[in-house]
Parts: sequence; C-alpha cells; structure tokens
Amino acid sequence: MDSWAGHLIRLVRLQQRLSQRELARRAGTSQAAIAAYEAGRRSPTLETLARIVRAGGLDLRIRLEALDDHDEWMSRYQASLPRDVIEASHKRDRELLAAAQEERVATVPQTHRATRARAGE
Amino acid sequence: MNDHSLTPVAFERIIEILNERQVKYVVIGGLAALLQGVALPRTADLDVTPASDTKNKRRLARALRDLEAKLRAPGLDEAVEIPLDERTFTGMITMAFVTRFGPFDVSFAPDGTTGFDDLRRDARVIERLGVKIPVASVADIARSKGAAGREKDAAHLPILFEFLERERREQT
Repeated sequence: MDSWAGHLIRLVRLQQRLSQRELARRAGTSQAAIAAYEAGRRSPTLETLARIVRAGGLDLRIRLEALDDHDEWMSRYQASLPRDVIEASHKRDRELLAAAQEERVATVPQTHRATRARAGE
Repeated sequence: MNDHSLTPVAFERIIEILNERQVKYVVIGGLAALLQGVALPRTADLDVTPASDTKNKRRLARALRDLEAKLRAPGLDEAVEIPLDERTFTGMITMAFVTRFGPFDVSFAPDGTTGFDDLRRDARVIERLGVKIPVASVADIARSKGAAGREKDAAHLPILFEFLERERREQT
C-alpha cells in the first residue's frame, strides 16, 4: 500500500536522518504509528501529519495549483498501447537500469568496496 | 486516442532527432534518473529541458516537425496539429507533444530550477542504445521533484534521496 502522507514522513526521516523511534518520540507518538503511516496501513489526519513533520524539524506547506491531467492522460495513452509494446518498453527500462547500476558498481572506489565487503554488505 | 497511439515508444529515436538537429537540451524526470541507476517507476514519456534562446527554439521546432509532433492540450484526449516554429514556444513554460516515437514533453523551467543553464551545470552525457543522452543530475531531479510537490513526487523522493545518500557514502 502506498500513501502520500507515508512517503512524506519517510522523506522527513531520510532528510533529517531520524529513526522511526526518534521521530515518534519527538512527535509524541509511537514508533508503531510512524511505521504504520509509512507503510500506508494507517493515514494520519492533516493536523497529525503537520505535527510529525514539524517534530522532524521541517514545515508542511500546502498550495493549490491549476489541475494538470498529464498523468491521467499518460495512463490512458499507455493503456491504449499493444501489450507487446508495453512489455518491450518495460524490458528495455530494466536493461537500462541494470546497465546503469553495473556501471555504478564498477566506479565505486576500491577502498569503499573493500569496506563494504568486510562489513558483509 | 490519436494517430500516434499505436507507434512504438522509442525515446532513443526522439533523442537521435534532437541530436541531429543540434538542439541544446537536458533530459529530466524519470528517464534521466533511470539512466543513472535510480529505480524510479516511470511513465513512457520523454521529458526534456531545452535552452530557451531563439536559435535553439528554431532547432527544436525543426526536430518536432521531423517527429510529426502534435500538441496535447490539457483537457483534450486528441492531440492537435499546430504550426511548429520558434514562435510556438512564446510565453510557454511547459508543452506536451505526441510524436511518432511516443509522448515528448518540453519544460523550459522545471519546478525548482531556472531552466537549461541551471541543469546543464551538473548534467552528464550517457551513451545508451546508440545515442548520446545529456541527463540532469540525480540531485537536480530530486530538487525539481521536491519543488513540484505532487503526489507522485512524494513517492519518488525517498528513492532519490536514498540513492544520493548511498552515493555520498560511497564517495567519502
């Protein structure tokens, strides 16, 4: 399950380098609640979300924008494509991703790779 | 949906034509992230930020003519034919086209950036599928998605942030 609020809470933790437990402590809630929000099992109210974000040292700001139907149009466009075209496109994306990741591994400094190997990563 | 809806989605052919027409641009969005090893869920469109000088707009218009591009206007299912020259882009920040090689979006100033010169600074050129592809840095992609603040961006940002964090650790 995905939730907008859950992604935002996770982003706060990543940006501020906080554990779920620490963010929960600061926000006056439980680690289990933070975990449930992040996993999309529960949805916080807007007020609770704003409080958690503030507890992480950031502000939640909301603005209204003109409707943009681009993503909905893209979904319809993709749905209109033949299945083999979509599958070929996904396959190519996977290959491009793998090529980029292999390239990254090859360029990671030797010392770091050795450290990671020792750490069993 | 439109005349181009059954054509293969081949972003590399669009890139090829942009390069042939010597358009100055940087690829942004999900594809730029994917080409650098970030596993972002992405749609089948190609997003670019072109330079906004008149000469480049003229080149971009030529490329769009080669691509038989039609404009996709908000609220309309059917893409429409429009005259394609440098004046096409007057006063426009973003434009969505449908081409014979798939959807192609142009944004002269993506959210959180000031456009081509801003993104070019940290961009890199990647060679894939036989074409050279200038791509915005992952940090700039994250910056733009952070500024855009859309629901899908909230889902992508933790993935981008974790990638950047891993990269930072690897470099120290």
